[in-house]
Amino acid sequence: MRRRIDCDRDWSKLVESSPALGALPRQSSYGSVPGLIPFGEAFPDKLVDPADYKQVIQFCHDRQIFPIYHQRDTWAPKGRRWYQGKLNYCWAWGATAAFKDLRAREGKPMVELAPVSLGWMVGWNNRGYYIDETLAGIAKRGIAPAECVPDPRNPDPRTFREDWQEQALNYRLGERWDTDNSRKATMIRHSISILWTGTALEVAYNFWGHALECCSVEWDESVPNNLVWVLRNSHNEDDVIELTGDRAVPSEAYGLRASLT
Amino acid sequence: MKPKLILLSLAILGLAICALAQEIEGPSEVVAGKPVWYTITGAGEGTSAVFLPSGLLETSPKRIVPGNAMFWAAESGKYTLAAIIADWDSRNLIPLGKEVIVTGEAPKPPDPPNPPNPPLPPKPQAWQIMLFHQSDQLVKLPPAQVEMISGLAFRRELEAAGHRFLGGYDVDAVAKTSVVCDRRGYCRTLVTVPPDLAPWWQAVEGDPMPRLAIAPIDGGNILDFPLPATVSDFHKRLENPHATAN
Repeated sequence: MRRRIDCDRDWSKLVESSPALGALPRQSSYGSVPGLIPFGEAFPDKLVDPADYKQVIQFCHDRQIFPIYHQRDTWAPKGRRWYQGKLNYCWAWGATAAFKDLRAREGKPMVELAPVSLGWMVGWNNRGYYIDETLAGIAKRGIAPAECVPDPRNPDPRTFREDWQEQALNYRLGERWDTDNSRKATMIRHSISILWTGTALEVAYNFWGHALECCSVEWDESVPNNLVWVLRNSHNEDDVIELTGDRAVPSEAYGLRASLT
Repeated sequence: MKPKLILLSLAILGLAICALAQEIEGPSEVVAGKPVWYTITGAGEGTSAVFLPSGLLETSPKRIVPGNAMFWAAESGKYTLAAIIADWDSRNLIPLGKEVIVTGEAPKPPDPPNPPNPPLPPKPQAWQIMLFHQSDQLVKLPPAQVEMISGLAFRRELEAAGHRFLGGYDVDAVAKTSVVCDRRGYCRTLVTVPPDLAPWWQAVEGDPMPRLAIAPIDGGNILDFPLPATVSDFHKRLENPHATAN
């Protein structure tokens, strides 16, 4: 069963109960990173009107457009756990989840990928990283297939298969969309406008110090902003989790638009 | 021959005729399906002999020798033929009977030829389907086209109709472009596309996006079109792709 967390009320419990995190707040500013296209500026007239949120969300569920449907259909059916263990690699797990959803949306073959292969970005140490930089790293070097990594939570490349770097090049990311986090309403609007195209988001919460994938939203008029954020977390849950409240609006969100062949 | 001898012979013959047993003459055992003639014997002058009607006897006067009947049974078993001799002079009716054993099975008549099957309606052509778009323009597309590119329900509907959805690709992400320079400093741009995508990419490369590319499900030429604006138009295109193929 999905766990729903009211982030306004229970945010401290959420932080205390999380065994491993690792998202560092972005240092770059919106629209300043090459390959990270500022969404609002690119399509100022194409953003979903807040008055249409309810209708758009319903359409995306009816026609199974949100990434969660591709996720369930491929790499993460209900019951599948996604676990970063004791590694502070949420930035890698979140990005890999979003990347696998992207490939599923594109109709590419399901290939299990190893988030731990992104450890080169932190010198194979057990520490956090920046989300925008993580995605830039995947665009450059890709993510190694799981078959190249015997232990999915051991960031020691000496244990990896010899050709892991070469194989990872087959799983690289193209351009990404950046979102504006200067105001919550803008962040909500950008996030929904990206999600409604079927594009997965990697999001981060500064209060939580955590990154994860946002794969859907629900309309619920009993919660703040009428929104339930549906996320694939990497803390060994057997389903997606739901966050509500003002704090549930992501601090950062990046849309993964296309994978490279 | 002397006249006395002739008269004697006739008398003996007459006596013989009179003495001829009144019976149904014919084989007592016949094979199923094989017609056999039966005759009533011993009916003299002033008498009439008739077989009693039966479904197994052909007694129609137009078809048979008078006084005879043709017996035919399709299945084995014991049958009784019945006949009557009417002696008009003595006003007697003499019933006759004969048991006939039919053995074996009649060869079955050949089955009538099956009526020809009505022609089946032509099976709709099933297609392999690949969509191309530019992902930076995704948000500008109308909802129906977003659904075609990203909707799982739409793909399920295509599969249910017998089609095979191969993918929805960013056309710019399919080709890998690199610059290769030789020792003299001459450089050229090298474009490489994965072999399984190459024919599809070549079909749409340079065309305005988004684009629909299809090929028969068992293989064949790739056709490509602008991505239809509505789901209904998409299905119509699959039903009749040659109408305005590029």
